[in-house]
Amino acid sequence: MVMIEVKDIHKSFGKVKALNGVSCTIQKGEVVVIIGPSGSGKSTFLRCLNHLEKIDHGTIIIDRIPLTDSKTHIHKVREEIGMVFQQFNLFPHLSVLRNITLAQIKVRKRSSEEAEQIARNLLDKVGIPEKADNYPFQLSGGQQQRVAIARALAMQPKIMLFDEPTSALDPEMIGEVLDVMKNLAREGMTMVVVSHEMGFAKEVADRVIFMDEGKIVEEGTPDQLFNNPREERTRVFLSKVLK
Amino acid sequence: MMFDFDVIAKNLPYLLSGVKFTLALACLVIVIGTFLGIVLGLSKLSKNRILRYPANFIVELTRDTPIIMQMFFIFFGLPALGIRLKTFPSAALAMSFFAAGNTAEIVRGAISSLPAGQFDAAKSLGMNYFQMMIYVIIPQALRRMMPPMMGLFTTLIKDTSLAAIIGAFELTRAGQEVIERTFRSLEIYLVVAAIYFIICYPLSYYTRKVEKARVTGY
Repeated sequence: MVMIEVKDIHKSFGKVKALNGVSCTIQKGEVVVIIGPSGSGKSTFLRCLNHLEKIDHGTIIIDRIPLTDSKTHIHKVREEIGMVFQQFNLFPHLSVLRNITLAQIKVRKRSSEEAEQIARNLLDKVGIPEKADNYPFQLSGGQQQRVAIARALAMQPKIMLFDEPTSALDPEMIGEVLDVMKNLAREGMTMVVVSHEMGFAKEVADRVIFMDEGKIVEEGTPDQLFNNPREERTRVFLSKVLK
Repeated sequence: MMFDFDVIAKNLPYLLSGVKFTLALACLVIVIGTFLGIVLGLSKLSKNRILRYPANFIVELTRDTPIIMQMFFIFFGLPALGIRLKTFPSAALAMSFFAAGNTAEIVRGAISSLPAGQFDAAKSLGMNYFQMMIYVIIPQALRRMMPPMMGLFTTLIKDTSLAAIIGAFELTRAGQEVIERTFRSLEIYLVVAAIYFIICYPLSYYTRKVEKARVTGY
């Protein structure tokens, strides 16, 4: 079953062309890792998938709902797409628990008891049940990112987007976040991950996409892409990051 | 000439009756100005031009003309158009516009200083505009707004004295009336100034404390 279908999308910021005709299809349960040099458009691509960036033209269909259709209620589609950001973006004025229950209560219209139960279960799952009543600034980066993952998962989304989730973390905290993501992948979540973690890509990705200059240059299984890249640009990039 | 303490004691009750109007005027202006200012500030940030352009126009108008001109315009100018307001409402209206314009800038500044990631996170959780503003953005913006808002409130309380120029009765006007009767400018203006100081100093003091607290908070 197709979960995400992207056809020939274009996006410019002023004169800079961030996406220059990107098409791809992602199946339900697939884990796709997008790699590429900075400025290659990979984050922009991810942000287009939940309409944080509005595409200039092309089509995006999420779970059979066209994003670009004016009749589509974008908030409704976003409820089904969780997103995790490089800078965590937890709400600093709310406790960890409240960070995770807020959208459940206000958007999903769950009772606060139910929302809290779900939040506590998820905190268990990401390994920090004891931090429920803390505030984000009292947590380490790795802990904050795990709360951010729990917050997104609490909406029970069909798709999870990760925008360089470990890039702002100290090296010793990267593992704890990747472990949570690996578990999620094993449970069958549809995931699109922009990341520089080649180890993660090799271990859990079903497919790796290499982007450069706003286009998909090459895609394939991790084995194909890392061991036998077809394109020269892919080879050059990999030789820089895999040394 | 000796400093006359008697004239102060005798006229203090009259001056304090002026204080009541000063505080009433300030409260009115702060409430209306804050409410209107939030609406204007949010409109300035709106993507919708129908909201943004008029809001920009009103804010610039109130910020780039002297408050006393706004008062003169309403009290002396509007009657030519058949709109006659008494002194107190004229002062209140003019100052409310002034307060709203300045509040709008504070609101806009506070909200646009928040990291873009906060908006992204709220949107990605499926929140609509109002949910995002009410639960995520405004609570954080309020914290950043506190010091400049308190500063504005202090300014507004002091500037209610301008209402005396169009003859509205408040503390400064009360002082002028006492001086007209007693010719004791030194004593009376000193007391009037002291009363403004007593009202405003706690606010200024508290503003500094809030500013310091922000350094340690988020």
